[in-house]
Amino acid sequence: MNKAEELNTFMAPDADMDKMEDILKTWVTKVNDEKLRVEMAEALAKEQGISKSSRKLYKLRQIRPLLVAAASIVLLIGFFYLYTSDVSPSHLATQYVETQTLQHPGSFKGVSIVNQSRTQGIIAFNNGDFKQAVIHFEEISAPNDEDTYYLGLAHLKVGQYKDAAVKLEQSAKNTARFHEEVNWFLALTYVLDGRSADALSYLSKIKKGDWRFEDAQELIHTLNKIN
Amino acid sequence: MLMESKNFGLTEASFGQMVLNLKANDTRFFRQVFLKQFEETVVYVKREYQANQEDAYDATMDALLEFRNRFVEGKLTYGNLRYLFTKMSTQMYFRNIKKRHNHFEDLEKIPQLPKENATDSVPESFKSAWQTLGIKCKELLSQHYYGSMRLTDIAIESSSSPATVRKKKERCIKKLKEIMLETI
Repeated sequence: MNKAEELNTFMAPDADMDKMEDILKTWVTKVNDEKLRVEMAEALAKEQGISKSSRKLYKLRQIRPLLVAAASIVLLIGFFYLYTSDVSPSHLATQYVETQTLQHPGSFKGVSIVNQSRTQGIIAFNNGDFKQAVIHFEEISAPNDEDTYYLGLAHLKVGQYKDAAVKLEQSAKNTARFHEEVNWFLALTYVLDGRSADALSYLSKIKKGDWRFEDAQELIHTLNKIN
Repeated sequence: MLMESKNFGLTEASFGQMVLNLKANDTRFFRQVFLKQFEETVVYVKREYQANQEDAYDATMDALLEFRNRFVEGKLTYGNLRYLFTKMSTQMYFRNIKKRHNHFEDLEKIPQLPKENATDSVPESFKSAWQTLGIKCKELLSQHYYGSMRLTDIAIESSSSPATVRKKKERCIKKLKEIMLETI
């Protein structure tokens, strides 16, 4: 594909997503590579006196203690893993729910019908007024997958765990879009609702590399301690 | 200690940290480590292959960029980076020489061939839109496309959810296309 063809493919309203992703990756890589090339050339000239045309302009003056940064990071990681908590699973789950910043990113692609309840629900959700968000999301006559998911989160935030579980389970069945989030939030919901076995079942679905994997491991560890 | 000397003084842990930094498009640690090897490699390519300063410099720089790319793609792991870097710089030197040779042959056929550089194949409208795009969008798109960072990992890093990051990415691409449309 030449430059013009790539441009047309990228700009097409009905662009093939895979092709568009490939093109964008190529372009972003090239502009960033060029930027890095310039930065490195400047650093070489300034710090080591090395340029493209001459071997060495002046002697190396600085040697930087780069391992200081690495050592600090290793220490921090060490402290993190050495720390063992004695808190209960529900206390831990409450902490996770309370400290999790939740933002509704607005309607997804394909949602074209303006729905006042949805708009008010999103505004209330993003203002942290989850009680109002529940009221507005429940008013939506034909809720989509996204409405169901965010209604579940709003229920969770106001402590209506049974309702939260129903909506999040429904969301899990209807769409895979939120699957990583649903695994985590359903697990928290079940911990807070006293259903440890269900919580463990969802926590075990959170695989290495998934969102909240480390936190899930900590929660599993805490749950297993009391069981 | 032996492994560290084969890996530019990096321990396996610090190597892992460097790769994580690169994925987040933070190149400072990478530059600190690899620019120290630059002159040594340039000297090697010049000595072994009778290359001139300019060609050896370009080959080493190309190898550095390729190394970054392979690190973030997970195609290069901790092992004997020093050896691989020298080898890749040599390969880049021969690749560039070959490319230039073909280029000269083309020049005989096409009177005014444009000068090649890394971003020549990128449309001007994209280059200019990229300059205008907001810093947060550039950061997100760079982490995902240049750093090969998964949206889930970006979400963890930014303390938000994957759905939020996916939505932000969609919006950034939409914005990018809008700016490009103004310049096409």
